[in-house]
Amino acid sequence: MNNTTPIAVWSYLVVATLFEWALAKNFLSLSTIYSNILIAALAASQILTVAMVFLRLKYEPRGIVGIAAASLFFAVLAVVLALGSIGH
Amino acid sequence: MWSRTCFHDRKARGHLGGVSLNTVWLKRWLFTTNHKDVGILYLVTSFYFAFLAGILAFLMRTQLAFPSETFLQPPQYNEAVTMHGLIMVLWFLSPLGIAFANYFVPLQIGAADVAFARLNATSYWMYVFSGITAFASFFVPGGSPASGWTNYSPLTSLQFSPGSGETLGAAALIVLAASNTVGTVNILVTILWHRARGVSFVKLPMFTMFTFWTMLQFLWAFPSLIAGLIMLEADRLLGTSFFTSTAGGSILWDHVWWFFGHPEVYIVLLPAFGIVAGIIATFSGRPVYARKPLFAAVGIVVLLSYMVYGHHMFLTGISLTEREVFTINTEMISVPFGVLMLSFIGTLYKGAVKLTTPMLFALGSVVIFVIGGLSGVFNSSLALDIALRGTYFVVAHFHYVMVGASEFGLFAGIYYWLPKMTGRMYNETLGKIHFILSFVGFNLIFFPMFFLESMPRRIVTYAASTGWGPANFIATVGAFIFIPSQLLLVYNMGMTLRGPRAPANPWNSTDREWASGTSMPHAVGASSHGIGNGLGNGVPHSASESVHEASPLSTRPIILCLGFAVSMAGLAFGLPVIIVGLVILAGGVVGWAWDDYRGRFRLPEEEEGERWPFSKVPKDKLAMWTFLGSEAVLFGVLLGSYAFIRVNFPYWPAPGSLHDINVGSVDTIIVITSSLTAYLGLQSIKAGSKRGLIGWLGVTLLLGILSLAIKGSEWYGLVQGLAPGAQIGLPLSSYFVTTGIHSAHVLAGMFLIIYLVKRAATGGFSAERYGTVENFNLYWSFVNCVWLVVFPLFYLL
Repeated sequence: MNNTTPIAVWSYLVVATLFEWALAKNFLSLSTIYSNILIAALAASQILTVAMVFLRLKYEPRGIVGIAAASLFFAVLAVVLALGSIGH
Repeated sequence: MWSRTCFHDRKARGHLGGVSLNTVWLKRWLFTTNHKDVGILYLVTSFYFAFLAGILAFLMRTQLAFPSETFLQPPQYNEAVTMHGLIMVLWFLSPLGIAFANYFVPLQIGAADVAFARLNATSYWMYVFSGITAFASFFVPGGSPASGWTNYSPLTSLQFSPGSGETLGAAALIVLAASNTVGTVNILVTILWHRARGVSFVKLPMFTMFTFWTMLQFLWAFPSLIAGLIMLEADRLLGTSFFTSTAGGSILWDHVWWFFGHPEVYIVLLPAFGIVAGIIATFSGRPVYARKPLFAAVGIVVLLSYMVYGHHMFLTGISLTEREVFTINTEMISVPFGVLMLSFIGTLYKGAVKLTTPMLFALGSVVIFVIGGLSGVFNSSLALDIALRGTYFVVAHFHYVMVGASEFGLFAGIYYWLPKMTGRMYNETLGKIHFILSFVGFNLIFFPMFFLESMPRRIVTYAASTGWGPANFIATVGAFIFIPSQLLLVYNMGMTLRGPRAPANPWNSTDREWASGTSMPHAVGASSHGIGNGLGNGVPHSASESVHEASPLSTRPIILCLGFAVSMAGLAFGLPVIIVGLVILAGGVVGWAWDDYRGRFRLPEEEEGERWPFSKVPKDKLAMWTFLGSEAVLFGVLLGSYAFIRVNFPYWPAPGSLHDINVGSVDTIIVITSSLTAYLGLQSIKAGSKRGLIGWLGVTLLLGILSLAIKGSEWYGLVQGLAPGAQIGLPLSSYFVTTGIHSAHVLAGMFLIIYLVKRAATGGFSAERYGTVENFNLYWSFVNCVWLVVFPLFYLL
């Protein structure tokens, strides 16, 4: 991978952040629900991009991807199970 | 060849000329990094803690022997109950399994040592100092923690636990959790990366296989404990309100605690079952029955162990749907355990069973587990659990599963491996007497408790009219048989050192650790100088064992851990103690880095063996990824707590009202940019540009400083807005702790940058040698990834 890819990725991350900022400031005049969905989608895409390129998951062997995926699973599980008790 | 330039070694050798052997002996045990030594240290230390916790058990059983007893006052009883549980589970049973893992995993997989020898010593010394810190809590005003081993909220709040013992106890647990995380990464990498040729995953010896799964549980369970304890300390010291909030604070603690606490049951149990599986096979003269299904079953136990914890919360008022899901999951977990039992029985079937002491303890473990497991099926039922929860039925159940099954399995391991560890045979008759007394004593203590299903747990006394007296008296008699009988084990172990020489493979085992014969504990860093170790002649029995013999000594782990423990204890004793601790810690870290920088601690390259699926991954990188896996769960729990709080909190501030969106966005762009600059630094050194690396690292450092400065200014503004002495509301509590822990990670990364720059400036990296820079990149990008989750949650949504 040459240096073009990380700079392109960085550019995308900055643009996505600015887009998030514009959504949160309601410059795009979207309803809150759509705005929040878009922010969440942008954040997810940013995390995925950083994980794939800067954390180099895209280039790692399956064993490493397995460790990352399993850990992410348990991290998400912690969130989901905590949320499961809403309405106690 | 081993590097012998380390000044610690030179000092050790310098003493050989005339200084007493005791000095060398002491240095060996204080500064050793050898896996066998560390294993023995873990074993001895865990027994010491068991002795202390056993005394507490004595006190409790004496108090409960008769109705209306006043031997202990209620606060004393609560302290005894709490510390007994904590010490037995976390400072005795888990570390005893780790002791065996340290000693035998490298032997069973054909490795020279564990993957990271100094880290191994580090995890041990953290364990020791955490235990000392925990026991120190007995001597602070207000006494030790007294809210049960589960530390239920709000009992741990300042309102109900105003003394500093609770703070100190939580600090001790944080140090212990850090110890376990370090040890976990080490042993996992050892198993994944250091297997000799021919030791594929499916051919792993039983104990190593069970240890592998256990380490995965350690990896993903303990971060939850760390996260919970940090929030607890923040509540007690900084005025946050995670667990004191009426918006579900106590339920939040239950989630955080049991996400760790239930897997901890299997963390304690599985190493014991690994030993049991191996012993049953050895003494039945048959291979393990259904080996592959057994491997899969243990994996399913690991997975399900995180999904069943809600059965501890059936009475907390969690939603019915969730209770139903946890009921089903809990009942499901009995299936893989059934596979385990079938495997054990299948191995025994038609086998030539030899009832040696290890075999008796192994079978005892299985019998006790079956009794405990069957009683657990009752507890998994939502309807029955409502009746049984919080009674002595549950006390009996978890002592059978968690204590009896584990302890008997681990004791089986002690007898089984004593000849290997000492080179001598133990007294078989004494071993069998120990088994009989232990088995009878244990069942006398806990079986009557199944009939005390109407007696609440944790009560200090009871009236004669309740009818609980006879069962309690029998239980106390059992305790007076069971606890002293453990002295027989200690005596037998001691006498073994003077016992008859053991044959090379006394049990005719096919496991690899016996291939090199039996040997006395070696003398680390001294065996080559002809120094004995006080336990024997210091000469290994076989040449093949010698690969395990020599490991450099290092003073760094003990210093570093002492500093860490003192600084954590400072949470209870005040800022000066924290500063002293941090100074010692810094000394240890700088010394460690200095040793690396000068190449003073070097281990030999091992011949490449079985590394699937990590054959192309350097071991440092594998360790970093494993560590990041643990970190992911840490932040997952923090963000899960945030989500829980946010949904349950009646009023949540609108985006922009609490945090400035503009400032957060600028900070995010800085963070993103720092990922790029760190990456460009790595690319520079890959291209052979040392100056490029230093330059980009410098820019990364500046961006880190800028990011922390922005957060600092935000924090300052928010703190200024708080009413003096008032409790911090949930939105800000969550913000302070989450961003605080994230900032601490950034700060640690900045120290790493300084270290990397220093090493780069002196030619420490090149186009061929850049592994440390790559690992830093992984860490830094991971921390930045976390910020990309934190930013929208706190600033935008």
